[in-house]
Amino acid sequence: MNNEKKKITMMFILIATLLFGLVPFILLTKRSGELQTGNMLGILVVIIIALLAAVIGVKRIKDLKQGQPVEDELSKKVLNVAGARSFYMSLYWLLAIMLLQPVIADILFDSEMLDAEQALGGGITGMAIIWFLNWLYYQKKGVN
Amino acid sequence: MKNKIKELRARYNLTQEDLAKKTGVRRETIVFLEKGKYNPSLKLAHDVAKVLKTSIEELFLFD
Repeated sequence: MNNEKKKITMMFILIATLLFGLVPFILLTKRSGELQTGNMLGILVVIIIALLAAVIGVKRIKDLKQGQPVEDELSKKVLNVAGARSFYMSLYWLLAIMLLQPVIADILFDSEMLDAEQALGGGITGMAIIWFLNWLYYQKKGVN
Repeated sequence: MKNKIKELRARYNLTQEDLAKKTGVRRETIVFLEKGKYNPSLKLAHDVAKVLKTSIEELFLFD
Protein backbone atom coordinates (compact mmCIF):
# COMPACT_ATOMS: atom_id res chain seq x y z
CA MET A 1 0.00 0.00 0.00
CA ASN A 2 1.58 3.30 -1.01
CA ASN A 3 1.69 6.43 1.10
CA GLU A 4 -1.35 8.12 -0.48
CA LYS A 5 -3.52 5.02 -0.04
CA LYS A 6 -2.45 4.86 3.61
CA LYS A 7 -3.39 8.51 4.12
CA ILE A 8 -6.83 8.05 2.53
CA THR A 9 -7.47 4.87 4.53
CA MET A 10 -6.55 6.70 7.74
CA MET A 11 -8.86 9.54 6.74
CA PHE A 12 -11.83 7.20 6.30
CA ILE A 13 -11.03 5.33 9.53
CA LEU A 14 -11.12 8.69 11.32
CA ILE A 15 -14.42 9.65 9.68
CA ALA A 16 -15.95 6.27 10.59
CA THR A 17 -14.69 6.56 14.18
CA LEU A 18 -16.20 10.04 14.46
CA LEU A 19 -19.57 8.93 13.09
CA PHE A 20 -19.71 5.68 15.10
CA GLY A 21 -18.67 7.62 18.19
CA LEU A 22 -21.75 9.77 17.74
CA VAL A 23 -24.13 6.81 18.13
CA PRO A 24 -23.42 6.03 21.83
CA PHE A 25 -23.25 9.79 22.52
CA ILE A 26 -26.71 10.33 21.03
CA LEU A 27 -28.16 7.26 22.78
CA LEU A 28 -26.71 8.21 26.16
CA THR A 29 -27.76 11.86 26.00
CA LYS A 30 -31.23 10.89 24.74
CA ARG A 31 -31.64 8.34 27.53
CA SER A 32 -30.64 10.86 30.18
CA GLY A 33 -32.99 13.42 28.64
CA GLU A 34 -30.17 15.86 27.88
CA LEU A 35 -30.50 15.82 24.10
CA GLN A 36 -31.19 19.51 23.59
CA THR A 37 -30.51 22.04 20.86
CA GLY A 38 -26.97 22.67 22.15
CA ASN A 39 -26.03 18.98 21.96
CA MET A 40 -27.68 18.65 18.56
CA LEU A 41 -25.54 21.53 17.32
CA GLY A 42 -22.44 19.63 18.46
CA ILE A 43 -23.66 16.53 16.60
CA LEU A 44 -24.29 18.64 13.50
CA VAL A 45 -20.74 20.04 13.68
CA VAL A 46 -19.25 16.53 13.73
CA ILE A 47 -21.48 15.35 10.86
CA ILE A 48 -20.69 18.40 8.67
CA ILE A 49 -16.93 18.09 9.26
CA ALA A 50 -17.06 14.34 8.58
CA LEU A 51 -19.00 14.95 5.35
CA LEU A 52 -16.54 17.58 4.12
CA ALA A 53 -13.64 15.20 4.84
CA ALA A 54 -15.51 12.38 3.03
CA VAL A 55 -15.99 14.57 -0.08
CA ILE A 56 -12.24 15.25 -0.19
CA GLY A 57 -11.47 11.56 0.47
CA VAL A 58 -13.71 10.39 -2.39
CA LYS A 59 -12.10 12.93 -4.75
CA ARG A 60 -8.66 11.57 -3.82
CA ILE A 61 -9.76 7.98 -4.43
CA LYS A 62 -11.05 8.97 -7.90
CA ASP A 63 -7.71 10.67 -8.64
CA LEU A 64 -5.77 7.57 -7.60
CA LYS A 65 -7.96 5.33 -9.78
CA GLN A 66 -7.35 7.63 -12.76
CA GLY A 67 -3.62 7.37 -12.12
CA GLN A 68 -3.34 11.08 -11.32
CA PRO A 69 -1.19 12.39 -8.48
CA VAL A 70 -3.40 13.32 -5.52
CA GLU A 71 -1.38 16.48 -4.94
CA ASP A 72 0.75 18.66 -7.16
CA GLU A 73 2.05 22.21 -7.00
CA LEU A 74 -1.28 23.75 -8.12
CA SER A 75 -3.42 21.77 -5.66
CA LYS A 76 -1.00 22.64 -2.83
CA LYS A 77 -1.21 26.30 -3.81
CA VAL A 78 -5.02 26.08 -3.90
CA LEU A 79 -4.95 24.66 -0.36
CA ASN A 80 -2.66 27.46 0.82
CA VAL A 81 -4.67 30.25 -0.78
CA ALA A 82 -8.02 28.78 0.36
CA GLY A 83 -6.62 28.38 3.88
CA ALA A 84 -5.31 31.94 4.04
CA ARG A 85 -8.52 33.43 2.61
CA SER A 86 -10.78 31.34 4.87
CA PHE A 87 -8.75 32.32 7.94
CA TYR A 88 -9.34 35.97 7.09
CA MET A 89 -13.04 35.38 6.43
CA SER A 90 -13.41 33.31 9.60
CA LEU A 91 -12.33 36.30 11.68
CA TYR A 92 -15.39 38.16 10.40
CA TRP A 93 -17.57 35.09 11.00
CA LEU A 94 -16.39 34.82 14.62
CA LEU A 95 -16.80 38.58 15.10
CA ALA A 96 -20.36 38.32 13.74
CA ILE A 97 -21.15 35.49 16.18
CA MET A 98 -19.72 37.54 19.04
CA LEU A 99 -21.67 40.68 18.18
CA LEU A 100 -24.92 39.02 17.16
CA GLN A 101 -24.96 36.32 19.82
CA PRO A 102 -27.92 37.78 21.80
CA VAL A 103 -30.01 37.86 18.60
CA ILE A 104 -28.89 34.35 17.51
CA ALA A 105 -29.53 32.96 21.00
CA ASP A 106 -32.98 34.51 21.07
CA ILE A 107 -34.00 33.25 17.61
CA LEU A 108 -32.45 29.75 17.65
CA PHE A 109 -32.35 28.74 21.31
CA ASP A 110 -34.89 31.00 22.98
CA SER A 111 -32.31 32.12 25.53
CA GLU A 112 -30.51 35.37 26.39
CA MET A 113 -26.95 34.25 25.60
CA LEU A 114 -25.23 31.46 23.68
CA ASP A 115 -23.48 28.97 25.93
CA ALA A 116 -19.88 27.94 25.19
CA GLU A 117 -20.89 24.78 23.29
CA GLN A 118 -23.31 26.64 21.04
CA ALA A 119 -20.85 29.48 20.30
CA LEU A 120 -17.95 27.11 19.63
CA GLY A 121 -20.14 24.78 17.57
CA GLY A 122 -21.34 27.65 15.38
CA GLY A 123 -17.81 28.99 15.09
CA ILE A 124 -16.21 25.68 14.10
CA THR A 125 -19.01 24.71 11.69
CA GLY A 126 -18.87 28.13 10.03
CA MET A 127 -15.08 27.96 9.71
CA ALA A 128 -15.27 24.47 8.16
CA ILE A 129 -17.92 25.58 5.66
CA ILE A 130 -16.02 28.80 4.82
CA TRP A 131 -12.84 26.80 4.18
CA PHE A 132 -14.68 24.24 2.03
CA LEU A 133 -16.39 26.94 -0.08
CA ASN A 134 -13.07 28.75 -0.58
CA TRP A 135 -11.39 25.49 -1.58
CA LEU A 136 -14.17 24.75 -4.10
CA TYR A 137 -13.95 28.30 -5.49
CA TYR A 138 -10.18 28.16 -6.05
CA GLN A 139 -10.41 24.60 -7.40
CA LYS A 140 -12.67 25.92 -10.16
CA LYS A 141 -11.10 29.34 -10.68
CA GLY A 142 -7.44 28.42 -10.14
CA VAL A 143 -4.77 30.56 -8.54
CA ASN A 144 -1.99 32.53 -10.13
CA MET B 1 1.35 35.32 -19.14
CA LYS B 2 0.68 33.72 -22.55
CA ASN B 3 2.21 30.44 -23.64
CA LYS B 4 2.46 28.03 -26.58
CA ILE B 5 1.73 24.84 -24.64
CA LYS B 6 -1.48 23.97 -26.51
CA GLU B 7 0.13 24.60 -29.89
CA LEU B 8 3.22 22.49 -29.15
CA ARG B 9 1.19 19.78 -27.46
CA ALA B 10 -0.85 19.44 -30.64
CA ARG B 11 2.32 19.35 -32.72
CA TYR B 12 3.60 16.36 -30.76
CA ASN B 13 0.15 14.77 -30.68
CA LEU B 14 -0.04 14.74 -26.91
CA THR B 15 -3.24 14.96 -24.87
CA GLN B 16 -3.43 17.08 -21.74
CA GLU B 17 -3.42 13.84 -19.78
CA ASP B 18 -0.25 12.64 -21.53
CA LEU B 19 1.52 15.90 -20.77
CA ALA B 20 0.30 15.79 -17.17
CA LYS B 21 1.66 12.25 -16.73
CA LYS B 22 5.00 13.10 -18.32
CA THR B 23 5.45 16.13 -16.07
CA GLY B 24 4.03 14.48 -12.92
CA VAL B 25 1.18 16.91 -12.34
CA ARG B 26 -2.61 16.71 -12.41
CA ARG B 27 -4.52 17.24 -15.68
CA GLU B 28 -6.23 20.33 -14.18
CA THR B 29 -2.82 21.93 -13.77
CA ILE B 30 -2.16 21.57 -17.50
CA VAL B 31 -5.64 23.00 -18.24
CA PHE B 32 -4.96 26.09 -16.10
CA LEU B 33 -1.45 26.42 -17.57
CA GLU B 34 -2.76 26.40 -21.14
CA LYS B 35 -5.37 29.00 -20.30
CA GLY B 36 -2.66 31.20 -18.79
CA LYS B 37 -4.46 31.14 -15.45
CA TYR B 38 -1.57 29.62 -13.54
CA ASN B 39 2.06 30.69 -13.39
CA PRO B 40 4.08 27.49 -12.93
CA SER B 41 7.12 27.01 -10.76
CA LEU B 42 10.48 27.14 -12.52
CA LYS B 43 10.74 23.35 -12.20
CA LEU B 44 7.35 22.70 -13.82
CA ALA B 45 8.08 25.25 -16.57
CA HIS B 46 11.37 23.43 -17.21
CA ASP B 47 9.68 19.99 -17.23
CA VAL B 48 6.94 21.12 -19.63
CA ALA B 49 9.48 22.78 -21.92
CA LYS B 50 11.60 19.60 -21.90
CA VAL B 51 8.64 17.36 -22.82
CA LEU B 52 7.65 19.78 -25.60
CA LYS B 53 11.27 19.92 -26.82
CA THR B 54 11.62 23.66 -26.48
CA SER B 55 13.01 26.25 -24.07
CA ILE B 56 11.19 28.11 -21.31
CA GLU B 57 11.73 31.44 -23.14
CA GLU B 58 10.07 30.10 -26.26
CA LEU B 59 7.26 28.34 -24.42
CA PHE B 60 6.22 31.21 -22.17
CA LEU B 61 5.71 34.66 -23.60
CA PHE B 62 6.58 37.35 -21.09
CA ASP B 63 4.82 40.64 -21.84
